[in-house]
Amino acid sequence: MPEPKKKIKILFVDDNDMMRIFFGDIFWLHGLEAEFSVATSATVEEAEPYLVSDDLRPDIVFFDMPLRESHNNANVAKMETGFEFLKRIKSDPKLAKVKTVLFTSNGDREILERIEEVGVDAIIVKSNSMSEDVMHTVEKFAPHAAATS
Amino acid sequence: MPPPAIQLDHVNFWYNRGKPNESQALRDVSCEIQPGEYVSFFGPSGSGKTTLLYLISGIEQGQDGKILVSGRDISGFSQRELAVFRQIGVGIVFQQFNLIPSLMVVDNVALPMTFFGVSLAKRREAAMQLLKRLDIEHLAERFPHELSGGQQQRVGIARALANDPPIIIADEPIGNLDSANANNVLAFLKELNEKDHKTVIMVTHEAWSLRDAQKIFYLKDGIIVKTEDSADEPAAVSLSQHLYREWAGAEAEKDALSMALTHLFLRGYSSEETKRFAFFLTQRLANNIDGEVFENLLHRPYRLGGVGFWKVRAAKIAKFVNDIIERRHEIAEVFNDIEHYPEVSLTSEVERIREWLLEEYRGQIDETQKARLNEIINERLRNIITSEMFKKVLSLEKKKFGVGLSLRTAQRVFERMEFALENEAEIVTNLAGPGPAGR
Repeated sequence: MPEPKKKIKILFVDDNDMMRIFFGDIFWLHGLEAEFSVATSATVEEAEPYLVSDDLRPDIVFFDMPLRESHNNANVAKMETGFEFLKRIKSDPKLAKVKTVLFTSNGDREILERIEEVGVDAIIVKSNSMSEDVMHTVEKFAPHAAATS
Repeated sequence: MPPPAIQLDHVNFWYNRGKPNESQALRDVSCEIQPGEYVSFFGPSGSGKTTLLYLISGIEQGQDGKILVSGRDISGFSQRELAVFRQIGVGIVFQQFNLIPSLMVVDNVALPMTFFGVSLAKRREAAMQLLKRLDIEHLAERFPHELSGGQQQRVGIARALANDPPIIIADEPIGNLDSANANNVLAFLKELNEKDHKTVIMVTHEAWSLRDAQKIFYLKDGIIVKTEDSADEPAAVSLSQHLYREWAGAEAEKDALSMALTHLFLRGYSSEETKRFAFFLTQRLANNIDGEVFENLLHRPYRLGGVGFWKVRAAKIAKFVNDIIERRHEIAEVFNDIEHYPEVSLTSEVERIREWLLEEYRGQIDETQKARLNEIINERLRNIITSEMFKKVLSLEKKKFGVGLSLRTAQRVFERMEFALENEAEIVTNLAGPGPAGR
């Protein structure tokens, strides 16, 4: 009997409540609950437990910019927090295989250049085709899972 | 009879369950919401309102107790069914609007239709209809940052209607709006309920915004402490509404004097509170009620039919009006008095009190903490929250919508606030400068 396939774990970090609901539903409405698990966090602080846990560690991280650090500074979403978050992933050997995707409304060239310097695996600007863009990106990084959809 | 649109049966909910920092957000909550009803969950910060909305809309997963949607237990829903329910079954209006900055208004509204194979052109066409209904079709090609708060919230409402859901869930929808825009939003929610027969579920901590709800669930510390049906109003509400109707028959003349006084005293209040105050004032000026009744009506909490003024403020204003009546001032003289009356708006009064409360505090507090502190000072002054609740929110963690002060600081601030409330006259004189009597 074939072994049950391991789910691809996705973490999505964005302080927009509507986006967090929308993002998960992209997967669930395509009937992909057997292939993927999706966790969402509003802040970097909330995302941290997923990054440090061997069981929860994501295969792909989608993150917005600007980003909020924690609920303690609820009104301040900063670009710098996004850069720091990406650097934190890139500098952790345990997260070396994690794919990172900037998923943002901010198409500012300078920001995108800086983020590419830090090293991001893909960039998606939120547009009318964002749900397709997310699926295509996931297919690219996790072909064995998305192929079943 | 159709099953309830939403039914909660002995629901409990914890954050960080099983961990040292576990906290219970909902305790044994049971309630029913019928199709086509307009209900409100009303309570102060930290009472569990938003958790409840997230459970009802299938965003947060239940832990204990049953949540039924149209008679079906949603704990048995697959992820796909839950997603369909979230996208078609409910439309959510957020306090923070949550629009996507990189999408034009029309595309923000069309976004929830993305999932259902509708072409972009068709989505935009449908979104335009919704924008038209909300009188903002001229903003279709703008981006969110070009819009005022009131306009952004209209876009938020249009988006909530995108997939024509039978249930509209509004999470503090007027929390970031001025009173004119707040009134527009409430009027529209009412219209959706009455004309479109949508079930409307609104969470709010502002008493005046409860005016259209047919059923009110009062939440405190995660417990529904009272359910009020508009059919069985508490005595105080019925009484003042009865008076209101009785008097309104004689049509309160909105003379220049009462308008000017209302404008003077009600800065910072909502238009509903203003309207109610103007009405009582007109009655007082016509001598339909005496000074004591007037003062009591001003002090009585808004939800009980009063204006909800802080005690000392109510007394001060009642006295000022008494003076006008007793001294039989000429209109011109009264206006002269008003011009020199150093009454402060509620906003600055609250800020002064906040500064006074923190006078001896050596640490730093950030903008969020300031805003939350202002909110609970305001609520405490208006008698919306008890002293226990005030104390609790002071030390409650910020991520749980508290102020996040240390227990020691919270205790000091709490004691100072209680002292202020007990010694109102003296404190207020120090904070707000001399009243007319002192001139």
